[in-house]
Amino acid sequence: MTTTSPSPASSDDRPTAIANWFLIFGFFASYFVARVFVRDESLPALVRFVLCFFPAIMGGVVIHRIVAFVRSLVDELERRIQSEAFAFAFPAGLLFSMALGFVDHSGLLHIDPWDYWFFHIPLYFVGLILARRRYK
Amino acid sequence: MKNRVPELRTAKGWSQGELAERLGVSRQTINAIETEKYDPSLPLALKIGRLFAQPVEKIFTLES
Repeated sequence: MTTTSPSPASSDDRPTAIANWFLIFGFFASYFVARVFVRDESLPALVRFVLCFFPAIMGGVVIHRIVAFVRSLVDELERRIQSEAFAFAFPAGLLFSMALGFVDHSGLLHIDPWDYWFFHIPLYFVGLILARRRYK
Repeated sequence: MKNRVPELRTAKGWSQGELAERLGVSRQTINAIETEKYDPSLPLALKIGRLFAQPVEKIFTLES
């Protein structure tokens, strides 16, 4: 049992926050690098193959940091809220991707499947708003 | 789950913020417990019981 300060995160220090922002930036950078170079036929096939997985590896590190953040939260209600936000965002993201796939398949609007993942980010914030409202 | 946290807190003359500080949680957590929107974890319930010097079952009761 922890009886420390009621602040939401126990490891809320500036170096960690800066490192997290660098990781997020690194993830987006790796995504755009991969997106530009995977179709570059002047590169060896092995390099292009590795590039395909590069953003996923960077994303894995970001996921590790997110899980560590939620586990580090001292306040148990905040931990519940964050967990509920992610629990909402994951299936909602799948359903939204499915709907976008249908829209693309219907020919009514072309949405590049490359961009589907990006729509998952606002869904986390929707989940966060809903969870906060529930416990307000 | 019903609870007597507001009653016990008021008897001590503490605000929600003061109780939150003593328990190491946020004021939002205390408010959610008092309004019965959130049931505390067992460790937190035990801490509440210890703080008010009462058994947990005298503070928290299951609704029949």
